[in-house]
Amino acid sequence: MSTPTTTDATNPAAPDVEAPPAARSDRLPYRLQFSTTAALRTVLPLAIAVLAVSVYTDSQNPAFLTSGNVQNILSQVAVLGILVAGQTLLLIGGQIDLSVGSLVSLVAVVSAKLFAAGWSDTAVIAAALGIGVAVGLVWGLVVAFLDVPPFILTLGGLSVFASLALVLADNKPVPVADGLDSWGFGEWFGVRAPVVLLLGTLLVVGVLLHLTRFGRTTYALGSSRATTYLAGVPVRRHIVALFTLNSTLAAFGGLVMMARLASGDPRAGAGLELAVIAAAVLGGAALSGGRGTMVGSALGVLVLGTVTAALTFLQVPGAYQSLVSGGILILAVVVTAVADTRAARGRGVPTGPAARAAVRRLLPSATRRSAG
Amino acid sequence: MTAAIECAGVSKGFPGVRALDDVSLTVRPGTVHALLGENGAGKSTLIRILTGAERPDTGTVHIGGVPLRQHTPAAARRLGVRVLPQERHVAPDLSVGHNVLLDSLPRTALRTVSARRVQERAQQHLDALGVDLDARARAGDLTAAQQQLVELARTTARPAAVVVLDEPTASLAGDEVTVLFRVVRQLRDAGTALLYISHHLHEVFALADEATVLRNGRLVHRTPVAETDHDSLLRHIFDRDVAHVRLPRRPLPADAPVVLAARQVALPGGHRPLDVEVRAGEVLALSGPAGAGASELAACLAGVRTPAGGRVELGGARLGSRTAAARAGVGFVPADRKRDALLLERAIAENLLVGPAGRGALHRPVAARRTAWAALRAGRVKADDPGRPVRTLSGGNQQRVVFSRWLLAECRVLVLDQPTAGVDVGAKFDIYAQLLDLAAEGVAVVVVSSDYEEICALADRVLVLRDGDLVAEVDGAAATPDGLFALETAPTPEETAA
Repeated sequence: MSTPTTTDATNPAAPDVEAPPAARSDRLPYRLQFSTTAALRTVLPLAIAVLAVSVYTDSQNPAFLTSGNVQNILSQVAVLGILVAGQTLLLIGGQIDLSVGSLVSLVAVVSAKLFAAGWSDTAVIAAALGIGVAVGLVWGLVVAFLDVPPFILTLGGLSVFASLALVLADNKPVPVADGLDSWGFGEWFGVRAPVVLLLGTLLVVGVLLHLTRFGRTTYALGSSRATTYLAGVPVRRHIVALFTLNSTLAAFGGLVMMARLASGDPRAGAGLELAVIAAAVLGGAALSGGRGTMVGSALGVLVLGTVTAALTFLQVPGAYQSLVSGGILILAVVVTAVADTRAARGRGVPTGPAARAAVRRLLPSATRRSAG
Repeated sequence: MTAAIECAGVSKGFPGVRALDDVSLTVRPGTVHALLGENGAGKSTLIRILTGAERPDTGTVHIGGVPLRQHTPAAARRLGVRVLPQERHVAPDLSVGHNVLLDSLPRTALRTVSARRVQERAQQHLDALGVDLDARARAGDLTAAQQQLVELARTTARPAAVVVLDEPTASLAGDEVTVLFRVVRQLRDAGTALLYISHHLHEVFALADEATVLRNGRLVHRTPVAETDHDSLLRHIFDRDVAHVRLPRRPLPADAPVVLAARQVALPGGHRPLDVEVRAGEVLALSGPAGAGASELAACLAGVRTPAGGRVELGGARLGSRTAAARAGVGFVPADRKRDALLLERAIAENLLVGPAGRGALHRPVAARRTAWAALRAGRVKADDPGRPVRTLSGGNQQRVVFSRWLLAECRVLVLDQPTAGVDVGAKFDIYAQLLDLAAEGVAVVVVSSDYEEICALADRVLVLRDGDLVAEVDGAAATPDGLFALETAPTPEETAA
């Protein structure tokens, strides 16, 4: 600080300034919301990463950035993305569900069996979603009313569903003749069906999260359960709703999985839960709750999908794929943690306005020089 | 003779508050020194400095002639300072013996801990203190008073140069108080210096050799206990020359309806269930030391806690869960603002709109921002952007955000637990004015406070609680800080009868 400038209302050195005059407070200040800038901090690097990987791979193999391949990539992450949408809500609400991968397998197997038994599309969809609702209700009620840690509870669910799927399918994929064929291989609005389903889900759940009171309450719940409860929110009911929504989405993911593979593979969803959490955390969701955005999570999915596809295009052996996506996750969380620690250390001296104030201090001197 | 504690010119400021101002204190070994003063007079800060939990801005602390250079609890402990804290810290799943020797476990040659030796040593120590407890019992099964004795035993498990007792009788009953007094005298006779903080003057006269009175962070009086009396000490604790401020208010209409009522509600530790009625536009204060039941009663009134017996009625209908209460218009401002009242990392706007204040199923960001702006202005919150995390605000402004949440929700009843804890003096009066404005609009306000001046400034009516019983009802205009203090600390009818 070279020159003592005149008193600046946003100068962090004088934080307890008088309330803004009425004239000024009538109009909204002309700047980005704090939460928006915070979200951009996680979203921008991911978007840049996706772009950079795509452009580099395309330069090596021009087939990468074609419409067909992009749709291919999106179809491959469709089930993952649908699960991430639900898990993002859960994580923001301070909950977690590890059983989603196994539930995908189970629902895929059950649906395939039901098709084999001659059920109609509608009936199978209803049954599959019914399984999701039932599972979510159980998780939600047990977590909300018995205070069982969801991590342990759904870890048990992971094993149970995985095993049930194998038992029901008799350890081998159940073939599906033509049930829900259009979901797996159809084209809607000129786009492949799984891509439409993925984008639709992200959009609907994103609106739910960001533009409804339900979504805002979810953030509140994950930030402080005590505060939310004392403010008069039915916290337990909200937790039940979150788990129900998530498991229903997982069941929906199971249907898409079955449609895409045209079979009920009892191992189709194995390990998916970890990729789901990885994508959500990559996109800025915190396991401790209260943080995350749908755009971030969607980009998290896109990063994992793009990297996997790029490695294939660059003819990197498949064994390296998990190494790279795991490495990205580790890098992302460590970088975020470092940034958070820094922000915490500088607390009381908010970095945003400080930077703006610094720029403003520079600007007049620059203009003065140019004027003189 | 070297003084056991020697503080010289100690000052300590917190943002907006001068907690200690040039305080000097000397305690000789083998004496009991009473530290007196109102809530917020600076006693706790002085103790925190003595025990290394806080670093003084200026001044020095010597323990047994050795200067306390590193202001850490570990450094203070090395010099022999032990504290019996106000709140209980007992590991509930460990045995009494392990709790007693928690920080001085006897080790075997292999540096392992033998449970048998721990129990033996702890039992010896408990017997020596005259505490009738089994060292093998699970600490969590004990009563609050017995846990306090376990802590006392832990504090004295090793020889100490200085023992600080911070309101040690707060959760003790008759017999345990006798045990405590015996232990204090044992320690004194063994040459330990004791600093005894208490609100109960009769304890001071029973135990202490000297007394020091703090008021507003300054040392105002120091005297040998033998040369003073009850009234003289009271006069020094509450400066009678300064009349307390009572804020102007509109008189309560005679026909103001009863909004919220507790009927035959039983509080923990209480002997008689109590009836409380709160009328529209009334400011009712609940006064009482920690554990007296004031916070518990407030929690019942806000629907946070279901009373063990009896019922709470809002406008004649039974109050259900917290959610139902909030929907029916009962606002609640909890004591622990950061943990229970705010979403620290979330935006101010979101903090305003959590709960019934956020109307409708949709969240429209621009409309929400506009609502937040209006609420911030109505609530006199000094904030330049409702999108900022609420943690960036000062304590007083954070508290106003919590009020504004209930203003937005248009509550009919507002229950507040310690509304000005950690708020600086100027902001306090702003908050009082705001509460009185609310009352003038017909909101029933219930305030739990341990700040007598706050109660006298605000209340239309004061209920004094002690050990879960209602001991007195005082008209707000007639209430004085020292009068409330006397009511809270005077022996209860049960004690007088015994």
